[in-house]
Amino acid sequence: MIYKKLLGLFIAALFPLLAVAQSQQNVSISVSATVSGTVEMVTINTVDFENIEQEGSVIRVDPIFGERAGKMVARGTPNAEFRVDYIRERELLNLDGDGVIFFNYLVAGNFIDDQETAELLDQDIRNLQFNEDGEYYFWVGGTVDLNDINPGSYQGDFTIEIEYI
Amino acid sequence: MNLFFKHIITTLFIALLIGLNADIASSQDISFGQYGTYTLELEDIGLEDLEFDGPINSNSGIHQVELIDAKVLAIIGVKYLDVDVDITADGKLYLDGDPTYDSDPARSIPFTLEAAFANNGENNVSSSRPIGIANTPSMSTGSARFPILSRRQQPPGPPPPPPTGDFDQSLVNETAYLYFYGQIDVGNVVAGQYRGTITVTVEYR
Repeated sequence: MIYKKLLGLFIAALFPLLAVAQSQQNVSISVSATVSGTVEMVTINTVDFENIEQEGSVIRVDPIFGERAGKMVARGTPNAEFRVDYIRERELLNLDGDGVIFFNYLVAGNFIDDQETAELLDQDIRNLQFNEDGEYYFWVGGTVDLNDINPGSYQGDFTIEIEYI
Repeated sequence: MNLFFKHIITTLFIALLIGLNADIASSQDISFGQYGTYTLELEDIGLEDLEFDGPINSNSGIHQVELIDAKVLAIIGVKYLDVDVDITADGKLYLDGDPTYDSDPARSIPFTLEAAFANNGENNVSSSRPIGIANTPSMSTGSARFPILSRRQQPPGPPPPPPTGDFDQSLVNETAYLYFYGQIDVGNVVAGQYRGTITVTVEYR
């Protein structure tokens, strides 16, 4: 009998602890950062103007359908977005004497190695994405007006900038 | 005689139990919020993560999310009650969020958490106060206790009336804000997505 009373008292003593009913809320916040790797540019073919057919004084290499287009591949972080910037008009200098010609670059890009389905990158700055293997392909062509220029061998460079977004 | 000893033992037990009960009841730290049926909401303001914006390159060192760009949580509850806030976070961000990379310095980025709260009824970082966070390589922890609405240096008022059938909590609700920010130290890590988690628990005191 006395033990039953004691048990009752013991439960009564615990009661204030059991009566604590709290309203508790939890939230999880995700913390994230994307680390980009380096970008490597590999030139596979240069633009080929040798013995090309002229349309009047203008010669043109089509970056999408031209077999003479230059080809480059950029290698970076798989699926990462990047921005491309290139200068559309560059001076080519006559290595044999006076004279410059202005070359207007045309660049097409594709995330698969297929020139004919490439997209003309006709804006100065474009947002693009590496494929699952971290690759993106560029084809480089352009037009040049050969009217009224000195004979010689002309040379210039093409610069394309890639940066992760 | 035997009965006398039984009474003595009973008395001692009762004295012990009353003493135990009295010890609980005599605490000066009265938790009004624990005995009511007040509700408490914890809302995620904005759907974004606490994100360190790119581009982040390998070996690029410290990248910081400032207080002004902090991730914000809102605590909606009874303005005159105190809340306890407990914060636990990963001490690192892991490649693809995989904690098995904990000891791999090429696949984890040390993360230093900072936190603050504002309880003047406005979502305004300039009036926020810092929450002390203990950052270790494996875990960051911190806690804070404050009223949902600051008492502005005044002593606490009388105990609130307990909620009854006519009690409308929305009339006495206010919003306090929690801010989470911090920095990462990017070493020589492989490229990819790094993730960690901050867990926040809020309850009435």
